[in-house]
Amino acid sequence: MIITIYLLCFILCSGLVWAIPMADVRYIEQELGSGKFQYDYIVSNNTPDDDIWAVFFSYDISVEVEVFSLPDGWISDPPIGPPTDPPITGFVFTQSLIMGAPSIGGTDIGPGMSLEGFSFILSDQVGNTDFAAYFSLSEPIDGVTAPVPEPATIILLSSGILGMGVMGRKKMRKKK
Amino acid sequence: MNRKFYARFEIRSFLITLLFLFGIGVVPWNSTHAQEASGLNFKMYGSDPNNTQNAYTLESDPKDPDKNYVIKLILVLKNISGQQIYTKSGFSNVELLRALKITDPCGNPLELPPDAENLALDAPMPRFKGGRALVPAEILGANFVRSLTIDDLRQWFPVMYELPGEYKIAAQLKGARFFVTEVDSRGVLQAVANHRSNWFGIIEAKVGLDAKPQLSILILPVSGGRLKIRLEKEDGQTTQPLFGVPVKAIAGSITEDPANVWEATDIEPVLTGTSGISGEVKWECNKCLPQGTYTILAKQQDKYQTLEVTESNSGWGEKCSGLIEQTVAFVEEPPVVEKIIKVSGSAYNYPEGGRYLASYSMDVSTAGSSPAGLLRYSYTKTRMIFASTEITEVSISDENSASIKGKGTVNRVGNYTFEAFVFDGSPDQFGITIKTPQGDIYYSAEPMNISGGNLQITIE
Repeated sequence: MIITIYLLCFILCSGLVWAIPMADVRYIEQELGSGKFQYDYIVSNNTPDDDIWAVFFSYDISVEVEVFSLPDGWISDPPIGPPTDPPITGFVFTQSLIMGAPSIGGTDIGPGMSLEGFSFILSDQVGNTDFAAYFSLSEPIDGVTAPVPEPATIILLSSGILGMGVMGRKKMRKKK
Repeated sequence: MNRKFYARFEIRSFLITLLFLFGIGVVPWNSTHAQEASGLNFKMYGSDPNNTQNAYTLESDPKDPDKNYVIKLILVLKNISGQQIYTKSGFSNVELLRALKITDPCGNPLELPPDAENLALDAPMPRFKGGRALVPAEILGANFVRSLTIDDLRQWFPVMYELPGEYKIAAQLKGARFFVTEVDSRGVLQAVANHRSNWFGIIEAKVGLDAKPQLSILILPVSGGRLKIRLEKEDGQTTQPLFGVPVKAIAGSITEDPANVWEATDIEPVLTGTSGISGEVKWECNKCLPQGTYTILAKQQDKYQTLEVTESNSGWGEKCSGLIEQTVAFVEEPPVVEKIIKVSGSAYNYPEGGRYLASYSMDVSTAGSSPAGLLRYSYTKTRMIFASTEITEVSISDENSASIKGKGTVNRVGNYTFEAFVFDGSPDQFGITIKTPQGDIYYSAEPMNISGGNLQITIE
């Protein structure tokens, strides 16, 4: 039992260490048909005292991008709107218009906050891609986007760990 | 046997058919049977045996025969019928002179001067009453011969001093009452009748030994040429022939308004013509122009176009063998089409290298009455967001390079001016200079290659 709890804590703690970069970008992928995919991004600011004011999404140069929607107070290059002719490919740069965290009236992503609503329609299924987050005080950081864990995955992982715990407890009782 | 019989039968049938045809006259008995028009022989000779081409030079001295200037002509009338011939009005020298039918190089007939009849009176004149001859005006004896020597044809037709080209000379005598004669099968001339209806017969002179119906005389300048003018319409992109445009060629240069020269009645054009479907001018008279200076005038609707042709032009040739080919172009300004310039796209690069990118979007055009659109430029190093509020100018230096000028704000504040440079190539380039309201440079990024995105210049 002690060993199982130790292992569980180790796994969870190590996972926490890996999952705490200064900024985290998760996405939900949705296939629209005709080869197009919609990506809804959630940007999380994991710093204790800095604001994220811009996020640069980088794609393969062949991927045509269309900015479908943005959080309030944010703008982008290319701007929100239908596909241009010729289309813009390979990147979306988003930025907050008003300096400062929402708590002081700005539109930046404040410390410990997450902001969703970055919705892009891409001409290909891109999956995990590079991003760069720009902070008000710190140097920008690079990262790789990741999918938002699905509920089924969480349940499966939790039930597995729980099952391992139950089995371990039974073994301990038999030994007694 | 049958074959021989049929062969004989066929020959016999052929002979019978032939005899029948002769009988009804389809095949003439004597095809050489002919009728002589009159018993008078009328001939015209150019007098200079050394000038077989009958070519004369316009610029020669008319007083100096050695310069091949005098155009002599001899007319000879002879009765060869062997009979007396009655004439209605006689054949005095004046009549012989009147018999001349001369056309100038343009085909216009030349008229004798009014005093011509006073100059040759060595033959009896007819006697008339009420417009009709009382008696036969002149009876030409069996051996009658009369000749007229014209020392210088230009004495009677002075235009030959001025207008070079080919003059055609024929001679026709009217009013001879003559014997109708026939040439029999042996070639012997035979008188048939002194027929009254032949009063109005015409005797045409034969020229020289060749017995041509007319004599050609060439009067040529020392050097000259014919004009081959083509009219075109140019609009800067295409060239098209102009059809139906009247053209004049005027001797000398003009300094006046072409419209006044065109309308002037006291300026006689050397040539007049009209352009055909191919644009080439068809002259009413394709005269030879002596070497000199001429002005070509063309009139299309209310527009005039001139072209000067001078000795320096190529094409002049000896004795008018030259051909001067020139084009008169009516240049029409192409319709002014306002080009619509559109500059659009989004891109980014790293103006100072490193990690800080500049991102920009633009969509500006000149489609409206004034340039309009939006340009935005962000620089992550200083968190600068420049957004245009007004586009004042969009221009191109070539189809790949555009400049955008206007006003805008930095981080939503101020009244800055900017000038952006866009190059639509491979790769695209972008640069921008932002100035404060005082004109100081606030931010400047030299044009450099983009790192991603696409900028496009469209000219419509």
